[in-house]
Amino acid sequence: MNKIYKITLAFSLIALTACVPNWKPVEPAAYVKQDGFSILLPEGWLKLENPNNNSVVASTDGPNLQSFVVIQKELKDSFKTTKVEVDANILSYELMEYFIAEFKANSGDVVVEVESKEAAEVSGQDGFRVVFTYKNQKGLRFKQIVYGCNNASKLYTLTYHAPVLYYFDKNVAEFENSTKTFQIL
Amino acid sequence: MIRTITLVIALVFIQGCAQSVGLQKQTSFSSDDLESSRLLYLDPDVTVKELGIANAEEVPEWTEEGTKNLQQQMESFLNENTSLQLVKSTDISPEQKVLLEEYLALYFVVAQQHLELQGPYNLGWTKAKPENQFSLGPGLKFLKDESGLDIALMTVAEDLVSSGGRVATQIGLALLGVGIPGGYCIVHSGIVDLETGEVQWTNTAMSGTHTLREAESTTAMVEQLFKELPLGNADSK
Amino acid sequence: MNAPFQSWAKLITCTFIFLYALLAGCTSNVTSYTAGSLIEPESDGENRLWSLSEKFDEGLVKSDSLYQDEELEAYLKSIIDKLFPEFEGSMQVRILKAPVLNAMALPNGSIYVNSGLLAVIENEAQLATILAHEGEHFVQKHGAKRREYVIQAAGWGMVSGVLLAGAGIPAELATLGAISSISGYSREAEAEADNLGYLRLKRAGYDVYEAPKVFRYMIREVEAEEIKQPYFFASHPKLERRVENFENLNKEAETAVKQERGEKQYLDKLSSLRKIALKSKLERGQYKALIALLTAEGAEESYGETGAFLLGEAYRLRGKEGDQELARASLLAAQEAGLNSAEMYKSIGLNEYKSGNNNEAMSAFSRYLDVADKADRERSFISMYMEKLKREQDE
Repeated sequence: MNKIYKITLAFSLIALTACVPNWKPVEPAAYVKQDGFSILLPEGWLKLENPNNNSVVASTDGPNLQSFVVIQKELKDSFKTTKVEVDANILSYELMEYFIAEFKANSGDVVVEVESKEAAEVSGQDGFRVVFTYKNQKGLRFKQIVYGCNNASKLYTLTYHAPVLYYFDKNVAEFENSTKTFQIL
Repeated sequence: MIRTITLVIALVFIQGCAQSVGLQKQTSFSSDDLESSRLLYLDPDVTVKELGIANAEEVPEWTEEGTKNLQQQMESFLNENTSLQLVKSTDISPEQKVLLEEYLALYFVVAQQHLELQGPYNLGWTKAKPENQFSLGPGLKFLKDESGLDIALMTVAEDLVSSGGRVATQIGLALLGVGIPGGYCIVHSGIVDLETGEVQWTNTAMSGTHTLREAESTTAMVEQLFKELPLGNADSK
Repeated sequence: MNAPFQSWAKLITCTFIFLYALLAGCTSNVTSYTAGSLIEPESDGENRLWSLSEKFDEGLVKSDSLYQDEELEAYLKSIIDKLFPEFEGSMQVRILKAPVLNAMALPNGSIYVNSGLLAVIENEAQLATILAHEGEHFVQKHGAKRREYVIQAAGWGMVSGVLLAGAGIPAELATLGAISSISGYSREAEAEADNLGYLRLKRAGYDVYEAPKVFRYMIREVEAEEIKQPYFFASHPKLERRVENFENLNKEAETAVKQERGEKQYLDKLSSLRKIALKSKLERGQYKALIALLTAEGAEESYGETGAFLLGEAYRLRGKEGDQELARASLLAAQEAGLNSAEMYKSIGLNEYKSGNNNEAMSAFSRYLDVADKADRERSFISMYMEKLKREQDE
């Protein structure tokens, strides 16, 4: 095969596998605004540029090593696996219970443990904070913090995920500070 | 796995030989730092699988073969071409062994992340963060205490060898204008500071045609892997 | 693609699909053992499977997927050794932390039973039904036989899928050929394991009338959770057929002597695990399956006050019309049966709060705060709701 064909094939294969992510530095002290929410991301981190207005993804060492993800979803579409129907008046405790159930139901064979559950204020309203832990088959432990809340029609979650060894503790404080700046618009 | 296969295809297809991707060299780390250094040499963690027509299955004899080849070629290369003194194994407790395995698993994620950030999947990252500092954290100090050494070499490798059936299928489908990925070999190796956990150097060698099952092929991979390492003079040992 | 190629591809592909489907109908060789012998790998392919199985075992340990209890594992081992005395020591039974009703046997003799299944069955005879079935997979080397089939069929499926797409035949047809041949073999193996396992049950002195109940419980769960049972692609014969098969075997059985059910020792040994496993089902959102299980005949006696509490929780979380009343009744039953846990008071409080019964909610929340561990972070929710209720009361 000639060289031009090989190059074309190589890049076609890349394009076929996924959209190519594009990372840009977080602008200091500038709120990231999406349709429906805004947040101040930690300085020095990189943010993923993506056309999806329902989420924000950031990292400082690479998304496999730690990730900070904010997602906005339709409340009625948030529990498709457990097939639960929730309304806007749901208690924050029950919202958390349904979120945990959906998360565990979607985890397949991975054994997910809930390390802690507590009430939390998210964008000035009743929400929850859950900490999950799990291990992969190589025995590497991962930890994930999820803050969540809802309004009349949407579920909002802010997630920090990293391996327990070194990376989780390294930047968790920045994540926690950022969550305090989260605003539902 | 799909992304790795595609990345390998993208980066090696053009030449069909071993390629390597190196970490940006740390400014504080030079050939002087490695001059006659004693280094804790941790056995490479190798998996060799057969990539069949529709599945991949580990072959225990091949893994054993690949591990032996990689060990031999790495030790031989480092002894002949560097002034590094390789110190093998250290007595650690079963609990520490489990912890070390977890650190190896973390190193794999770090090396893989480093690889992906260099590649076409993560545009803008290396431009925005040219001095990405990777670390495994200070938890490896127990190895330093046990061995008395400051640095360790960690190596993790995965080798997918296409079966005859897979190759025949590839050729057959290529005639119909359809491409399916073949096997690949990927070796990550890194030098880690046992006090701080800082990954002072890491490199990845990958190839769509080489395999750890063959000594000559492994030698080519090892040469690619360590060509970025500040080597020092073997005669000064 | 040109017309002659399309015709050629269609002909060859259809021929091969037909042949594979036909092969699936061939009877397999049943390996029978009259004397005790150690099962070992006999080919390169089997060696690989054993090695893979060992890695799988190690992976499960590393990923914390196993429920580890030496006494319980010894109990399970005693049952498998009773069923397979000539292979004593060849198999090891472990418990997987998984709420789905399932069990599996690996080619190296590792047998895994899900905690969800152990929570639902009621006695040792039902457990022996499962272990006899899984043990036969190992003894008959179904894994090794299936591997060869899967490799060939899956490979063909991939190739023919490409050819068919070019030949204008839907790719699903090729996949059908590959998958149905895999399923065909596997369905046979499952039926064989059921039949041979049944003989083991009988020989070991277990009550064989307990065997079909295991599959009736699976049917109950499938129907409650509205899981569609695929037939053609199922690796297990449809559940109803399995119940029917066991019932037919029972008709032919000569069981003049009273057979062992082993209810007491089973419930004693599995008591803690059953509670944990049921709670796990609740935590995964399997409310309907839990309600179906805990309202079945005999459930009250089998699961006691914990069952009543979990039933109350399942109603509360299912949240359909009328469920608040049903939750209230179950939680009251748990309380009257002597349960005095913080979780129960929290559940009562939440249910009453949702129902608008503020006084009852405050009373239950107050009780929860008295009983709950001071370090429990969930107190933050209840404290918050108490504040709100007090404010409403003051207004």
